[in-house]
Amino acid sequence: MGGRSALRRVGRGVLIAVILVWSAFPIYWALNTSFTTLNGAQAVPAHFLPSPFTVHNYRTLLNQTSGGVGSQFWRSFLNAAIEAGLATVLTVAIALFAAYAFARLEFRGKRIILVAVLATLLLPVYATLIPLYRIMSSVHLVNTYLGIILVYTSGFLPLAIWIMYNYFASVPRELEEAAFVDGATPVMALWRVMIPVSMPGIAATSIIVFLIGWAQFIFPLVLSSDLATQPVTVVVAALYGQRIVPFTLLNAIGVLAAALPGIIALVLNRYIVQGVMAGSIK
Amino acid sequence: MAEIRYEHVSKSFDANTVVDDLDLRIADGELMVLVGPSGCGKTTALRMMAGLEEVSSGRIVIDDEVVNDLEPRDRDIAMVFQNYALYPHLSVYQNMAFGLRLHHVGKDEIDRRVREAAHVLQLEELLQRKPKQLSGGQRQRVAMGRAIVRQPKVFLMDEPLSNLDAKLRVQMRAQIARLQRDLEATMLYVTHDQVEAMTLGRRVAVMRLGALQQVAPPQELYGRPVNLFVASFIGSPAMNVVEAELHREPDGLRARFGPHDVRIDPGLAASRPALERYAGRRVVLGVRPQSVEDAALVDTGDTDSTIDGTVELRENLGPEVDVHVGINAPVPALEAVIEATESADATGEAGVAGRPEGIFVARLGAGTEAREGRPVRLWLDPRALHFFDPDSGAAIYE
Repeated sequence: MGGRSALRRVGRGVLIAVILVWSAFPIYWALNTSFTTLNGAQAVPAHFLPSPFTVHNYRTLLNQTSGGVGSQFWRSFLNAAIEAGLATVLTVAIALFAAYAFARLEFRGKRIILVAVLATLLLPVYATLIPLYRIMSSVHLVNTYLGIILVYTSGFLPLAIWIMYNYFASVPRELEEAAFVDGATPVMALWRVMIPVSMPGIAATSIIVFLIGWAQFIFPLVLSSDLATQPVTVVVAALYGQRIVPFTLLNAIGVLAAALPGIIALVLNRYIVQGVMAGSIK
Repeated sequence: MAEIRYEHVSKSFDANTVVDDLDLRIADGELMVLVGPSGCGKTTALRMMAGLEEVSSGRIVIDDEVVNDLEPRDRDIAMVFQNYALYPHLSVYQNMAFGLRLHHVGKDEIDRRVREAAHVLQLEELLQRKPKQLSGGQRQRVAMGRAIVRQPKVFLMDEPLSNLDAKLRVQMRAQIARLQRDLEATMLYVTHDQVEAMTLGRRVAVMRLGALQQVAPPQELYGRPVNLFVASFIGSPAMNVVEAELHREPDGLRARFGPHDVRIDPGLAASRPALERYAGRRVVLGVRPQSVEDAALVDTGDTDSTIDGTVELRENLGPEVDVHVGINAPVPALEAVIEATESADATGEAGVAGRPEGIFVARLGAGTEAREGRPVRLWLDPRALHFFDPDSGAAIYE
């Protein structure tokens, strides 16, 4: 008995270590590479700590000379933040009402509509890519923030609705009923009870949607034609393709590009506190 | 405060009738308890009064106004939910103030009312806590406080004590009764616990399968139940019921069941004239465990009211002893009895549903020498027998 549980503990430790190395190593390696020179990065055998150590790559990115890598990076960084950020706001705002309706209101065809919305998740991205491009083109929204944000929102909504739907469905009905009896209209109950109570779910949905938006590549590749709207993913790929930007610098860009969603996840994570619901019921 | 009425109210979900033609009036300032086994429609009835459930037919009246089409917020009611439904993101203070804010009550007035309720409910130290930081009993009191501060026309209570442990439940029961009296509040209180119903209600309405069975003060429900269901549901341990045959002898009516034959007190028979019509016919005989005594402890010499059996189980309660006695008499397999007693069993009370064929439960004086496995002679109080029609289950009175 004791032997088996010890074995299980060791097994679990090994498994955790493998997963940790698997997911953390690329980040570590990007950091390692971004703080050294091209020669240092190409040394054989590899240096596991940056040697020689330099912040040259980051300094290059701070250089805002027009047309330089730095200015391209920051512009694309800003683009990605605007596109993913506004798409997140729009998606969550719409998903809030849609999910509430699916979770709480009775209307004809509710089940079918919900399934239909979710079924769109099964469509491969490539199936909608060209039609979406043509639609955006016909309304002159190609290479605009609005166009990209609308496309993102339409793509992210089903997932966001699904997450929030499940969260709302888990909130006891009595909470709203108590609000109704206390004098609330349905909109007030949603605003003053349902949404505050669902903040962890809303935060989780926002984080997930933002991270997906930040990582978008195919759609902006097609829908953005220049730095006016191209997000950092597209610009990094372009810089890499040109083979004139040292990959140490590309790694520095990668580190910075990963830093923003990382910080956001860390900050908002505080809202996904287990047991926020505790105490309302029973 | 106000009078509330159900006027021929029915509620159906699809083909399912949950509440059937409920007609009930709760007077201004009255505490009415709705009691019944789970699924009897009592909670649905309460929710219809609250406006949380639509009425299929009939009228809900609050303070002489038909409120069928009014939203809950326009009915001026307060409700305490079984699971309390406290707002988890708000403090105790904010929970209580929530409804007042929505009604645009002034800030000073809100503060005054919340602090007053907190004082009454001993929540003063807890006003800044969140619900999750409270114990079950404290949460229950906050739920009460949230209702009180509203000063509504009607209080609706949906099994408010069922999540508390037994000791706390008794305490809170007394507190609710006191509050209701002090506030002179009209209160409709739903519970499945017949003990709670009996101790709390000035009048108790018993429901079964969506239909009202009897509305009466607790003592009347206990002493003069209108049918087998009420008789079996009210009282603990549940009433013993056996199939019996009435027959007329020179000294009056007697009831024969199994090998037993007991005399019916002439006074009792006189007060139930309809019994005459059952002479020579089958009836269901009901005897409360409290109306049975160890014949050795009764000094009447009345051998016409005794039955013999074998003690199968003895439970010492301290001042009294419950014995389960095999008496070899047929138990009627009546739906009403089974439902009533199963529900009683679910609340931890001894019922007859779990009793095997021919087991008679008797609550005897502590001096009884009844021992498990030994014969015992029981005396049935001839003035405290109950009779029911075996087909309809209706009590036989007039």
